[in-house]
Amino acid sequence: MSTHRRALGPVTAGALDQALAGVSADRLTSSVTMLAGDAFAGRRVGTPGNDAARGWLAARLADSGTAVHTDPFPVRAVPDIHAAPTARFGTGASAASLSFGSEVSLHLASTDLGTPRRAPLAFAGAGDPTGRWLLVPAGMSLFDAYGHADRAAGLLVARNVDADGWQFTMLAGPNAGPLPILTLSPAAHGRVSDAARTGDGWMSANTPIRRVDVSGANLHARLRHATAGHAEMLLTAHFDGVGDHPGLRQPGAADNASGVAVVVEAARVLAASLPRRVGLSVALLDGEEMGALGSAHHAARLVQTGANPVVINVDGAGRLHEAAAVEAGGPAHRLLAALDQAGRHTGVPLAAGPVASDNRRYAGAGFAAVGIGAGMAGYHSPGDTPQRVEPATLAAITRLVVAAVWIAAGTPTTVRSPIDDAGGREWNRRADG
Amino acid sequence: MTTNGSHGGFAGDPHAALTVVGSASCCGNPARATNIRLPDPTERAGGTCCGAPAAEADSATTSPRPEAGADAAATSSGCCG
Repeated sequence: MSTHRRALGPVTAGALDQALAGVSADRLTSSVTMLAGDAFAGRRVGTPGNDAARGWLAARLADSGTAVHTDPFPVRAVPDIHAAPTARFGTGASAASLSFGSEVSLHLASTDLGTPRRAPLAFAGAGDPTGRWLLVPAGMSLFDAYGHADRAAGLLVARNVDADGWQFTMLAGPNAGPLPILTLSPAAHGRVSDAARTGDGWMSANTPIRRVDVSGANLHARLRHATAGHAEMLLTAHFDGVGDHPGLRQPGAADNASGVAVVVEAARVLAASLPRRVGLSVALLDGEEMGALGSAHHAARLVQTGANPVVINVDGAGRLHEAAAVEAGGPAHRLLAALDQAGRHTGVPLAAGPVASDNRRYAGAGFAAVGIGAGMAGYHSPGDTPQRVEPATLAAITRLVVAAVWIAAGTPTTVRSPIDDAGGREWNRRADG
Repeated sequence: MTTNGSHGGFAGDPHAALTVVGSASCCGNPARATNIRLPDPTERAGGTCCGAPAAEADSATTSPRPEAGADAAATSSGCCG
């Protein structure tokens, strides 16, 4: 630690450490608990819970004394499971039910079937598919299954479950196709296949999933403007989640109430302590779960206005494993150097790894951007609860972000990292033209 | 969780963060925790994110290859966030 303090300089290190001491694990945990609570219903884009979460966050950002504004954008065809599906199968008169969320769920490519349809079981690619629920064998793609499903009652596709046994929810994916499609856990797929092999098996199920066109909205706050020649730091995190299903709460605590809590807390600390010359803005993004649409919208606006922010995006700060994953894009060499030094100063281990999140939209638009991911328990499932978000991880990633902004705000001579010299020239590449 | 001064920062080459390729892990999660498989983000400047192509981000959410998107959804690949 002492080596890195000397690299920062005693005055800078002392002021930074004073700022870092202001990070509150209790406040972070409270934010996660609130955002993951029943009132916000999982925060799926376009839902009342999402709107309520945005309003609560706007008030938190306003607590920092800054103006907050929203920027809406359209989101098309959001999947909405509008009733808990029922799925029963059996042979002859015997029957068993499948549990929604774990044993059975709805495929994004499914058509909307409200009333349960009872039909004989068969296998795709074997025999006449007419009027039958078809089990798609392992190794057969859905595309190929369609080729064997003319006039079928529906398709039954095997799908992995997570470590808790949930078929976690995805929103981004294919549009609805012509058939009802259920996804079955490997165990359920095996049981239903056994029923089909008897020649007397049947399935009765519905697929109540529809698509809705909605409006999403990002939240923006500029805490301070940069003076000439200094960086504009932009902290981002998506506040939307995959949302609750009927009878199935999906709190979205780690994904991404944790990242939002980190950004809001970091902004609070930085607003009170960051040297004046550095610009600092916050964007809390909507529509990430539909394909990072909020950041795509924001990045396009930034390009139009000629802005040149340096972006730090946090997606997941729930459970730090061996190291926080870092994915960088755009002219991010100096940002990586700052993050590296911040990691060493705060003791947070870092490793290159995929962070497939909003950072990619900013990087794709040509901005220096990093995504930081520090783990999620219960990804996109009822298991993503506040109780599984580690307060120590929240605090550690907040300190990492605060330190990274501080170090990035310093002059180049204060930054010492194995990659600093190589990347320093690229910091303001866009601004320099 | 490990957060001490002697082990912080990148253990390896930080440059590797600029060339992340498809992996079974995501956002700091080991693969075993989620069974997630990610698309390869080698075309980050204009390529896919979370299963949606960048060019369609403002107007659509579907994959240009519906069969690929459907299989991605079935196998739970896609965005980690």
